[in-house]
Amino acid sequence: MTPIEWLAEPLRYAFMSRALVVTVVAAVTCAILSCWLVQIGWSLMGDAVSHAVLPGVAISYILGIPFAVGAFVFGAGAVALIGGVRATTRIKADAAIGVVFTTLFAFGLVLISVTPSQTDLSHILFGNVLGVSDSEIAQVLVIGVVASTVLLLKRRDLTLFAFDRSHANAIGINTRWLSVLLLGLLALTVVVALQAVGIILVVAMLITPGATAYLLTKRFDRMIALAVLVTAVAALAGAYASFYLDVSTGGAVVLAQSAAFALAYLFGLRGGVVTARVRLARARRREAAA
Amino acid sequence: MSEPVVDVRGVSVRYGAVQALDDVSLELQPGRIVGLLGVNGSGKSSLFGAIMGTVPIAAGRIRLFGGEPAAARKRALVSYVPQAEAVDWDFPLTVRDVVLMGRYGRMGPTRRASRQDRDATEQALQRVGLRDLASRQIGELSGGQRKRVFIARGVAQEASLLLLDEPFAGVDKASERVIVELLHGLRDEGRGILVSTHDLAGVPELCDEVVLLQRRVLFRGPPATALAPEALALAFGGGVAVPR
Repeated sequence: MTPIEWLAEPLRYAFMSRALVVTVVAAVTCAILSCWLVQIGWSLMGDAVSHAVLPGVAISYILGIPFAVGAFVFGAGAVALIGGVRATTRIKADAAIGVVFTTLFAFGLVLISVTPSQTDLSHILFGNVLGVSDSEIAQVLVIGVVASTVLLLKRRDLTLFAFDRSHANAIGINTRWLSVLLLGLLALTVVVALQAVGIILVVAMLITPGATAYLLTKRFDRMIALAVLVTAVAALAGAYASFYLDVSTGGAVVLAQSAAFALAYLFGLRGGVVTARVRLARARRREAAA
Repeated sequence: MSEPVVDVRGVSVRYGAVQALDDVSLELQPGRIVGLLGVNGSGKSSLFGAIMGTVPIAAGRIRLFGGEPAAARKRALVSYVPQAEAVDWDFPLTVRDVVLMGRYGRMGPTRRASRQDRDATEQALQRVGLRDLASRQIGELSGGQRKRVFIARGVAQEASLLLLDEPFAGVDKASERVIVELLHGLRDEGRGILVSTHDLAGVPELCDEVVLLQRRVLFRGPPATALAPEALALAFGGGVAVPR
């Protein structure tokens, strides 16, 4: 088999082409968002929102409405609840997040267990990208493109918000609105990503790309570009691996992203473990020679 | 006399049962540097927060440039220089990126920099002497250089009010002198500068007036009087070593 044939083979199957589209769109949207999440320290929010959408997905199936609607309502609701619990008690952030998202996740489990429907829990939890329907693809494409576009248009404000909220306030930028925008887009993005890898692994897509790119550059704009590039490649690699090796697509995609992170960790220009050793050794040799 | 840059009248701030500020009044005229001195927890950050609109005030009122604070902020008149500990120095931004952020209030909704914005950024970098280091990541600077990045941001912004939080913490003597000179230059152009610090270093050289804060204003006056042992004992309790 030539490399071209190897690449073209999966595309002969409609389910595989769809899976590739969904996976790449979801991965890229997550990658863009992840740059701010890891910088602000909101990684755990990604985890919380992704778990909290479960009842929304279940209710959507029961009512026969697009899954994105229910998922978004519960994702945004989780964010509001977490904010509410934090504002009105002395509970620390991680505890507030933990209480809220596990409650909603458990509620989702109960709802699904009493619903005599075709909803397959394992598909929601672990993703079922090989079985996405046309309407689901449409939702993923629309949401993914809208979320990515808004993120990129507002990227400078979001970066200022992540870097120096006080200055943003001082020059009259509404930081409350920016945090609502970012969390709203997080809820939307989770809806997209859970189609690709399922609820459990969405958080990987929301953290790993940003963390990887952070190790590779000193510029935020480049960080976004690198996160997108690395993630798109990893998503494709994971999807192809799942096709040829016959393993879980979501799992393979996340593992491919993890491999990219490991490479950046070892050889990254900024803080790569091996890179730093090599530099140190070179500097010592130069010193010894001098 | 022209409108004061900052006019704080009888301001109180409460967090639940904790009274952070109690009936605080102070004034900052254009072309003046006022030092806000107090121990940690004396309400300096609350007062800065109230001026920047991040901390709600329970009583009193604040006016900036004779008008509503929100309006002054929207006109990009206010710039903030954060204390070093509040900044993520590993953030993937260069010196130039940060200075350019000073221009955001003057840009459109996507903050696309115009030629004018870029020129103002380069001039600000030049003025604080960081032009050669402009492409460095912000963490790759010394303590004094780091401060100057944020002062340059205020210069690029063309702000008329500068709020500085602990400007001399982690700064060596030589850099301190550079910063004092820089701030004097900005003052002499008619800007108002409010400096918050718990560290007396640099205060006598820098400030035209000192306000000793301990939830309330304990003392207002020239640095020489404010830094007299009797006044300091009020604000800091006993055992304060007057610098140099």
